[in-house]
Amino acid sequence: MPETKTQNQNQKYKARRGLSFLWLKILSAVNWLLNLFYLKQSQRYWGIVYDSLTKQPLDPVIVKLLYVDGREVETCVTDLAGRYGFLARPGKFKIHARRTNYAFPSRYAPGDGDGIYENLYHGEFFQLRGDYEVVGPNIPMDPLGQDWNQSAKLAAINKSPYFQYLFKMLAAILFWFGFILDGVYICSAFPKIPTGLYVIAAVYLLLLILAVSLPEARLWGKVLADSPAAPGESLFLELGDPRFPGMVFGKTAVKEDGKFLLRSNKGKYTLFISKLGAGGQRSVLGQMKVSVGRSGVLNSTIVLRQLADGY
Amino acid sequence: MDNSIKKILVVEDDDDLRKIMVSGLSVFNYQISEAADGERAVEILVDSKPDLVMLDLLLPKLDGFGVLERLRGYPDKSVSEAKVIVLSNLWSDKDILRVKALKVDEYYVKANTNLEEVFAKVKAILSGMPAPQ
Repeated sequence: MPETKTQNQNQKYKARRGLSFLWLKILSAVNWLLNLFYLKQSQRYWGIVYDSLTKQPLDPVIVKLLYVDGREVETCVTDLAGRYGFLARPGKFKIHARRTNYAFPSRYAPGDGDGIYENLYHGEFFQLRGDYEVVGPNIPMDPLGQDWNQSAKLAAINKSPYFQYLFKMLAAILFWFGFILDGVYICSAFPKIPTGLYVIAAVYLLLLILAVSLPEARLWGKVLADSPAAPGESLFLELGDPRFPGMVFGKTAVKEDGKFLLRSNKGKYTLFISKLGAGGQRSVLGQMKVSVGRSGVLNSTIVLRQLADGY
Repeated sequence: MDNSIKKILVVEDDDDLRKIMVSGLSVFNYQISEAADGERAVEILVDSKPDLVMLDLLLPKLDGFGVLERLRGYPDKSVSEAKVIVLSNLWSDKDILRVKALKVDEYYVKANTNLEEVFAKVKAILSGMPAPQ
């Protein structure tokens, strides 16, 4: 009987998790569409460190989150897309970025935005209040000379932020042009309005309603456990791929309130949840299959009890 | 020179990161060489025959894949059988498969790795090796 109960619980959990993943995917896709037409600002799961002149993302940049007195809170290294991020508790902090051949803070991109990137950071202190928050302003850095690595990457990536910006602008112009054209046709055909024009108007209306009312996707994930970790214990998450045993495709520590910020590239992974004891010993609590979407962030909820039950 | 001292070659074109790696490894009793490009790395590999190579993949002059190919293809086993830890931000399936085919001991993605972990792995690999004769 207890086994049947556990099986039922696991089935319910799987169903709930499946629905939750589906909802996140729908939310992400609709947000992407709205962002494409400039109906909604794109969500910033991560900050990007980039070249202030070419606007190309920089890697590897060593980014440090520091307390006011200069003590280090956390360090991370940007990935190939220049992405970095921290999940920080309330307090006063500053960020420092370091990369060979580049200067921080930027003098070439001094304002809050530069046309391509918004929310720019230049080394000032900032205050976080309330709960754990995702910290990831965009950081421009000024080139000090020729950088071989960036030139090689530019040739390999062949993807220009300026081109992406122009593509989005074009999509937005076409969207609004279509909207105005539909309105003009409806007015000119009144009162005998063809059904097709109604349908187009309805689609526009639906998108506009979604832009205003759709909730933002969550920036972080959360681990739910039946009992909190013992003092001195902490939980760690690692993304692996069965095809490449031993390689880590993303890792993070879980905060006291269960939140985590885990970045990776789009793909399917195995998530390993492990516990680091007070003595430094590490034990794997469980594993599960997860997928990371276009946002490059794992923001689902992980229920630890089901994993311990053998899910 | 003490023959029991293990030799490490750090190949990384980013000066800051290379300095951090060398500085982190210098607390252990290793003989450390540095190279900022692939061609220089191959020269050092042949001359000083390091026990372990920490290798970036995006490198000037000769990339990390090229360094690995030359290393594994070298006729002298004391060169070709060096342990290799790749530390790179390249992590497409294609890159990983290409590197794995060249028999690397570990592959770390820079953005997902704490350098302390890498140093611990270096120590573990080298402490498991017999001292050179």
